[in-house]
Amino acid sequence: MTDEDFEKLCDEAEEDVCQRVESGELQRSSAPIQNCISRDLRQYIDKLSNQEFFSSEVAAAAERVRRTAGI
Amino acid sequence: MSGNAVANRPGFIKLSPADRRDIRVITSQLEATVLEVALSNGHLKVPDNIEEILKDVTAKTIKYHLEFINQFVVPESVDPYKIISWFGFFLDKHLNPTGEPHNDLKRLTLHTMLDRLNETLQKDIGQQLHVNTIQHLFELNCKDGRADDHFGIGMNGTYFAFHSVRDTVERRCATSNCSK
Repeated sequence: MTDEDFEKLCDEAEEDVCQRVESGELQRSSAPIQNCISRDLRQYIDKLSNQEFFSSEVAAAAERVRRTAGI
Repeated sequence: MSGNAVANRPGFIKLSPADRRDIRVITSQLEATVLEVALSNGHLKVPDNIEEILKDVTAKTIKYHLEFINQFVVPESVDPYKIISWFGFFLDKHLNPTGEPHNDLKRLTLHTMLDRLNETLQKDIGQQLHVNTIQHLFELNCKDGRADDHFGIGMNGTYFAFHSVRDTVERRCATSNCSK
């Protein structure tokens, strides 16, 4: 999927959900939730934008999955 | 209404550029891992329309994230555990709609999801779920969509299993000066 495709999916989802918020279909919860991740995880996610690092992480994950899934 | 048109709608929380970037990188990593394993294995029957499937799964994940942040008023932040669980669940439903538990693509999808969740936990709090717990979560995920799915856990249950561990360790460490 290209970056352009991805942005389009985001725009379409925003349109759909915005309409449902405005129509009242999506009801707000009275108890807000705070997402929270550590600085280490934040740095890791940022680092994945580096293509070389991304590829090495995928290769390592693929190896683990082959082993655990027995594929 | 275009993407820009929703930007300043009162009461609507849109995706920030950082949200978009995070969702993109998290889903791409899952997608790339599934494809890497699937395409390097001659025995796995990857659907011809896999690109289309992945696009649909990504679209559903984005929409769920938007619904979630608007329903629970979560300001502009992506929870990787949710994104991974939702993406894995939707992909599993696409690749294995009948819920056949011994399906290779099911094992691949669910183990990729659980591996990604456990690695995220490792990066986040420096700890992982035990291999037996991961296997248990795999079995519970296999129940979803089947006759005995009252033993299933679903995408939110899977997310919450990891969230609970994260939250518990984080709170304990905040009050006891532990090194995780």
